[in-house]
Amino acid sequence: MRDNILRYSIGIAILLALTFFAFTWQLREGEVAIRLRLGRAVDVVQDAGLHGKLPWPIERVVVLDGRARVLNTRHTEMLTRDKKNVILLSYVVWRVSEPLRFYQSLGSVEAADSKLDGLVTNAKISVLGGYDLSALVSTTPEDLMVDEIEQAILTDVATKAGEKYGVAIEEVGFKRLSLPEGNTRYVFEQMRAERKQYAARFRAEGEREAAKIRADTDLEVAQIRAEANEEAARIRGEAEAEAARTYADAHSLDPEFYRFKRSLESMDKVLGKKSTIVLRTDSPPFDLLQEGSR
Amino acid sequence: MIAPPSHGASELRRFSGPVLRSFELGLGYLRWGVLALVLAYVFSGLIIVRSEEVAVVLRFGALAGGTPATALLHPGLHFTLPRPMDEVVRVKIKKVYELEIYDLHYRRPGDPGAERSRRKTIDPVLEGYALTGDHNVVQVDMVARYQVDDPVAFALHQASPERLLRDAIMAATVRTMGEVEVDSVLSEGRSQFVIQVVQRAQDRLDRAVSGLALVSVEVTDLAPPRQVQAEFEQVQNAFIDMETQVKEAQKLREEEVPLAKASRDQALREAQGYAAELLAQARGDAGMWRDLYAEYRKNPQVVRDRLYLEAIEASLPRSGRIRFVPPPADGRRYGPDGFRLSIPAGD
Repeated sequence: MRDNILRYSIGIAILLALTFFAFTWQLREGEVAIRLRLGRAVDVVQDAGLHGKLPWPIERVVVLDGRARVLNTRHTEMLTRDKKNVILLSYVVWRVSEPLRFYQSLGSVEAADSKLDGLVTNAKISVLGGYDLSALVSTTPEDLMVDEIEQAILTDVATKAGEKYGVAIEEVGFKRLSLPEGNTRYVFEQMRAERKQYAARFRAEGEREAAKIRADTDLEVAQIRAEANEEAARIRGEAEAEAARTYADAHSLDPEFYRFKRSLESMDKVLGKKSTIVLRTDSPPFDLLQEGSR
Repeated sequence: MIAPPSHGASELRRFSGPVLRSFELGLGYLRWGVLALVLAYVFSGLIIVRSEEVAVVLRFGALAGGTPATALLHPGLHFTLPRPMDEVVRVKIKKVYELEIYDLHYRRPGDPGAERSRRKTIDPVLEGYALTGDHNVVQVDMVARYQVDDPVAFALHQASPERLLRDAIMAATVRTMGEVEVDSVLSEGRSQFVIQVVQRAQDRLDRAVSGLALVSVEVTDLAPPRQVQAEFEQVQNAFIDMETQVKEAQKLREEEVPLAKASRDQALREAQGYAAELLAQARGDAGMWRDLYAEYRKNPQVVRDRLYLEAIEASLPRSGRIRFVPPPADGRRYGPDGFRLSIPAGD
């Protein structure tokens, strides 16, 4: 008997489970769904959780991925207002906002990519035609209008994608800004010319700066020399004056005696082997001889 | 050959007997088996959230409790309902992920790039680059490090968070590069550039509710393309030359000026030495003179005569010739001391 209870309870459990799965379905967070009754949409479900339905084949649920997706557009050449060719690669973040419209117009997430690519490319071409290249790259902050351009494209695409495909555009960004291959040649030439100019400028600047330092050095050295000469001359001059004063002070005690003494010293210095001295016989000490002979 | 029925029935019984018995026995075991299965099912909801992760619990597909906060399980042991009622999504929230962003660079993983290197131009499909504000081409390779900061948004609301991260950083890079000068971003402006890129990329990630937080962006390579590399190096060399020239001139200055100062000090010392000597000599002479004068004052004629005679003694013997002349008839004397010198030229 206990075996039978077990058997029945297993049977009832399986039956309940089957009924539960036949009449309910779960919508996972991040998904959206459409409930179809005999192929006709009767409900759009965007709240995650447990939902009821009639069992297959009467009702069927189409679940769509409602998460944000990233789309990259292709390389497309376009013209700016100032007739410059640029290749602008962008990314678009989008998600299904109206599941029914999305399901009816596109059917699948994969089909959405090419349609959105077209929308974004068209919007890019038309928006960019209204701006100069300097709105994308410039060292003048007032010229740059990348945010504005991105916003304009987003608004344009969002409106169309919402109306046509039930898709919400959350973000548009330029992930690459390139030039057509042929144009890079001219850009490189320009870069080279600019570099050569810089190199020449650095060389000239180096020479000028070095020359200036050398001239400064020469000047400073000359100044130091002059200062040294002047100072040395001053010291010597002062010393000589001082010495002269000292001599003068001493000699002025009796100038006549000084001249006498100094004359004797001079005589001692100037007389040599070839000198001829002419003396009067009455000059001392020879006057003694004369007097003696007298 | 057909076996007789009676024999067949007994054969059947003979064979099925053990099978039936074991089935009966099996039913007994089955009870325990079912109980074990039921228990295992009930306890399959018991989960351990590891320390580096958090778990998001989905009850019938929706966030458990209705809000992201109530659906979040932090590290530890938790009891959830078994499938298909609850689903547990684990998110590594502590882990720092790395993503290389090479789309704006010539180097791509697994691509030798031999064909490209000979080109004089750049095909934007084959290799990437960015344009600076002053219309220069630069190529940049970056590594982004990031973490999940909103597990619900990251795990459930984003189909490809990594692609979004890559594109947001590239957009921030293109935007920021488009406003800087090439010489700035290649040198001292690089760190400011990175700060701007991180900020702009994070703004984009936040606007798209990515659930990602950038930890850092590291620029692993940032250089002008190879087509103009040589010219950039020349500028670099010219800059180094400039610095060398200036440094050499400064070095010369640092040598010459102290040298000049040293020779100045030397000259001054010499002058001072000369002055000291001169003054010493003068003072000495003056002193001697004063002594002599003091003596002279006491006895003028004696001193005078002594000096005179000493001088004659010292100088006359050295002289070549001495000639005497008689005094003039008028008795007039020459000079105070009555002698005259005649010095031949050239002596």
